[in-house]
Amino acid sequence: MTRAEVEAAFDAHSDAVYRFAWRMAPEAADDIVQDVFLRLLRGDVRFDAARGSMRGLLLGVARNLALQRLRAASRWSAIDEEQFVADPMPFDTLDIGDFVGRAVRALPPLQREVFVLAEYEELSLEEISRAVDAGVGAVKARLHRARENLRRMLAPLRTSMNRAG
Amino acid sequence: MEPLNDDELKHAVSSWKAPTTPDHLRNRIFGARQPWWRWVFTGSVRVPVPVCAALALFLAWFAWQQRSLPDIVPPASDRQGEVTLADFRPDTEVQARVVGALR
Repeated sequence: MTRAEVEAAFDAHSDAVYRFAWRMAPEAADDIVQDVFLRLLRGDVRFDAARGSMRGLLLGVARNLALQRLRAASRWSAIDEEQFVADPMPFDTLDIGDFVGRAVRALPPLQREVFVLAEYEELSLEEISRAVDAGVGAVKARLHRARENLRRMLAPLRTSMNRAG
Repeated sequence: MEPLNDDELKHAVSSWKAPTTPDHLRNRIFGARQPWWRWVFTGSVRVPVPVCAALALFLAWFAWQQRSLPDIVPPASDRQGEVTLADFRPDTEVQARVVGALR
């Protein structure tokens, strides 16, 4: 891709990539976005329209970089993934968004990434499947587990949301 | 404590907003924008290998052609310091004069 094409891709998709990186690894979001577009600029990552959208490709690269960082920081073990069952979180903040963010970030990374891609970036199951390099069945299962965990973790919010109307 | 239902979860999840891309990231990736005339001094042009090879072959052929051409001989009138009869005009009125007597 030419520099002008990469700049156009940055203008169109950098916010989506940044949001995703920030939700997965907030302290490394800047570096992840930078790495994603530098790889595109250097030709390490090639876009093929037949294999999905540019947005899906960039989010997939960001996902790999985020997981590398989480693994390097030893904040994730694949064994935790299946066994993770969340309990309700104590609602100790006035900001509901902040509380939801802490709950989403407490999910195991493989559940978190599919949840963020589905709920916040509104990717289809097929697009998520390509981005996370997993079958559609596995994506559905992770998404289901993520939603079940969040329903329990965020249960204390019900009182607050009912009060707000 | 009873878990949230679908609608409650959807509503709660939408309250978590993410920031947009910080402005400094564009410069970190692409560098600061340079004035166009800077390109004249620092720019580069990517040339495909076949085009580059064809150009090199053409230049080599052109140089060879220049060397093998015979030297061009200038016309006689351009040559200086040489004695020729090209501009010779014979005298039309001959006047004979006797300078000595015969015995």
